[in-house]
Amino acid sequence: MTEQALEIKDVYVGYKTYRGTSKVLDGVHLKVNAGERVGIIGESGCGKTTTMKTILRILPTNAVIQKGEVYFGGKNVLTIGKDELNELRRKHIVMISQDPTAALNPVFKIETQLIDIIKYSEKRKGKKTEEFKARCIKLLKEVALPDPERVLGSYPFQLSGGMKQRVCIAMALATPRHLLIADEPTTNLDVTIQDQVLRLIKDIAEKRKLSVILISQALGSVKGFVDKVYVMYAGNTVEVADTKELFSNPLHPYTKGLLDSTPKLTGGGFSEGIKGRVPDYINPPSGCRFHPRCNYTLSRCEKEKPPFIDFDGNHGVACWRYCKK
Amino acid sequence: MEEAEKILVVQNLKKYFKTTFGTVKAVDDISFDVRFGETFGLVGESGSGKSTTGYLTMGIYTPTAGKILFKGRDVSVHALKRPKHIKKDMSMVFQDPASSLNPSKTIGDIVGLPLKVHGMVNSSSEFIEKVAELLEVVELPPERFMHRRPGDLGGGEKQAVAIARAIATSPSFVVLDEPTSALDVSIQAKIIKILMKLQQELKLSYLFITHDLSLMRNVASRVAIMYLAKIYEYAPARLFFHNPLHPYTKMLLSSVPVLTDEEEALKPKDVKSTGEVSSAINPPPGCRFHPRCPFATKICKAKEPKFTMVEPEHYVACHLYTEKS
Amino acid sequence: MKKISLFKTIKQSPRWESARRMWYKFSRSPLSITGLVISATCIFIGLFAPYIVPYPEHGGYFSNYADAFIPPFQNSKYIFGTDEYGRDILTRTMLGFQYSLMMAGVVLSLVVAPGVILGLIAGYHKERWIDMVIMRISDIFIAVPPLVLALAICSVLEPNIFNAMMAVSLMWWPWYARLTYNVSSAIRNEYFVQAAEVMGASTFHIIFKEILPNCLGPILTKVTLDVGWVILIGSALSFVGLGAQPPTPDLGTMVADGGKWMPDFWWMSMFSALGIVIIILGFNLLGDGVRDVFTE
Repeated sequence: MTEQALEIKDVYVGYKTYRGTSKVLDGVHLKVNAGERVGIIGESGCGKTTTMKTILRILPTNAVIQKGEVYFGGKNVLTIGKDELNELRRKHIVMISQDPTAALNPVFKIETQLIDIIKYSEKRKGKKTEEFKARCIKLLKEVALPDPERVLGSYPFQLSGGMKQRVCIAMALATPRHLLIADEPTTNLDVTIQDQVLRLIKDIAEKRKLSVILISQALGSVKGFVDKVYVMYAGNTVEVADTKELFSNPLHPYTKGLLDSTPKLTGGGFSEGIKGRVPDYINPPSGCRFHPRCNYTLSRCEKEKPPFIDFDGNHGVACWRYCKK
Repeated sequence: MEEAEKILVVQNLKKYFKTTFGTVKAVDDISFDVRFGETFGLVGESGSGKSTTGYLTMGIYTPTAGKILFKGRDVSVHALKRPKHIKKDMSMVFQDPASSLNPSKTIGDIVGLPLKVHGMVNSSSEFIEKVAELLEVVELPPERFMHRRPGDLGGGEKQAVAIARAIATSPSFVVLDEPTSALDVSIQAKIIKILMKLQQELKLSYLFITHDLSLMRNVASRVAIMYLAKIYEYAPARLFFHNPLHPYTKMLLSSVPVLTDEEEALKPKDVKSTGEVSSAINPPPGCRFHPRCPFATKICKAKEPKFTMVEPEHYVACHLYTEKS
Repeated sequence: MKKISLFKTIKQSPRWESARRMWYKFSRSPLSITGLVISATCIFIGLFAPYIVPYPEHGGYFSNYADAFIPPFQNSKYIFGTDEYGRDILTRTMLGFQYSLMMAGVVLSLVVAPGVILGLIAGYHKERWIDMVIMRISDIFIAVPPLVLALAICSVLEPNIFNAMMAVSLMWWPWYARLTYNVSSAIRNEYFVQAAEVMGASTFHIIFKEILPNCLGPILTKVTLDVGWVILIGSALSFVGLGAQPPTPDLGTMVADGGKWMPDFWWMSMFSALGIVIIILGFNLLGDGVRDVFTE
């Protein structure tokens, strides 16, 4: 397939609750080029998962997409019909979640689940188990699972966390795809396994020229993996830059705060963290949503929401301090 | 080292669980001690037995063998059998803030429960006063938090409540089981700062359990690393990180996701993460790490290594070092 | 030390917030609201029946053969018609509601507390002897088919509504014990219970103040659904003659009595049967709504 790029433009999403509408996404934008690996960092509640669910339109029933467009392959995903949407989910975009135990059905063997996925993605029926099984074994070998035969015949509870996540990766890549969304794929795993799984995803992505969106809270794991990093806070995209640039020269106060708060392996104690807490989305702060927690506010920050500007080539930021006006 | 300077001494502690799959050896003959006023760190991945060790010290589990001495007194029994004044002197902060607070009670009731249990307050106004003091110490304004329920609080605030509850009876020893694993990085910094402040003001000794090495570097004064129910290396924090000896320690350190180049330089280069933790029911014979160890030799598969002191206060259990000395 | 004032108004208290949240969840479903309305109406009728029925004296011994066998919807005096003694069916049905709801009320009051307490104790001491004893005893009661047990008891004792209630109570309590056991044994392993144990809280406190409040959801749901079930079982007992005796206007008895006049004088059984259906429907829908409130 030719160049497929994903672009999220100015998306606003809210959830209806008993106290009112929770305005979670407040104008998110994102761009992934074909074959590019993009990371999204942000803390819990900032809307990363909601954004990913919006791309695939798997939001819960009380969610409302208020505004915005998501372009994939030239079409606006938010307005296409059910058939096209299903094709998108079957063939183009796939998502891996945080908890592999929850993603696998506990009462079916891995073999059954893997074959099901293949059959569904390629719209095939019928048995031909030998052919499918051979494909499954090849897939499991590709994700570096030792003893694929045994894994195929096991139930999820018989596998460890790392193995389950590899199975999920195998399921995600069972058929050729263009975009892989990995939503905190290693957060629940041990550190040594995290390293292995991330390296695996990187290798596969390079081999298959896959575009990847990696969401993580662990800034360090994103660093060695992606080309470009987006920083999200409270439903806004607040900064974007090439990986090296972002970590060596963070602009937005939130990004700086995050990098400061991360404890260093070389010692040096702790910073103060970022004061305050994640805002209440039902009554979000006026103007820039970060201003109550920011140490560098200007008077403008409370009144108007800063636009996302291109500060320096590939480095964009949404902060009044960097607006020349 | 004077015995009187140690607040907690653990000797040859074992805990085995009988399950339908076999006997799980969660903790298999470990010994360590915690000195007055220090933070002793216990590091390990899943299956290492670090959390079980924490539970054993608190009395949530009864040891299968071995002794636990608190301030010189033998407390190797279940919490229900321990004298009340011991329970007043030790407390614990659990891993998951959400389930460590009773969702149907108010914060005031949760924090004040230890006060009631140990008869430390005589009237309801005294109760409210003391609870308010505790909430202020953990930087939660009492007027806003006393009457709320845990469900309304964010993760960091819940953990702050758990800490307030843990120090309510002015204990001298606190077990912290992954207190910040479930929290975002910016909140982690705040919570750790509160813990450090409390340690100084109240002269607390901490048993700090975590899998996050960067965090451990900045909180612990001495560190022990556990793998599959045994301790394999102890050292003061600086030596542990700057001169790691055991291959597992090196493997763990090399997998830590870091941000800066100096941290990258600190990471050992000779060991890369491979393999997975084996089962605790049938641990490998000899040194339990040998299936994953790049330096394993014949003796490693046959005999369990004993501890040798390589430099002052730095002990390691590995055949690589026993032969040298 | 400055005074910490309690919430400024009741509206800010955590209980009010919980109530609001629960109402919001409940009111999302029109069926639940329907259930609420029907149940409330049934309860109202049950409470005030003797004061609002057109002919209160028709609930007991009464005969007016001149007005017997009047079909329904034809006469403004007797909207649902009359039975073989000339007693107004509408009156007797409404009085029947009173008996049915009374039975549900009595049985559940007797059964819930002991069942829940036993379940809590068994759940807390899971895997120990007390758990085995309590749960095996309740298993024995559950193993016997409920109606059979009730029939056996009622046929030995004098058949009246009181004994019917006792029989139903006896076979009902184990369900609460079992439900509470399942919920409490899961909660028992949560960190907050362990925190209470290590700080030295008494077992009484842990069971009743830590575990019990978190079990209330399923228990409340079951109580609401059980109203319908108890009434059904009670009516079944009366239907076979082991519960309320004539002339007591119990819904089951009325269905039985009217049965021998079917199909010509269909209205004598029909309206009491409909009454049973409506009560059960109302409480079932209400119970579904209550369950939704407590499910995430």
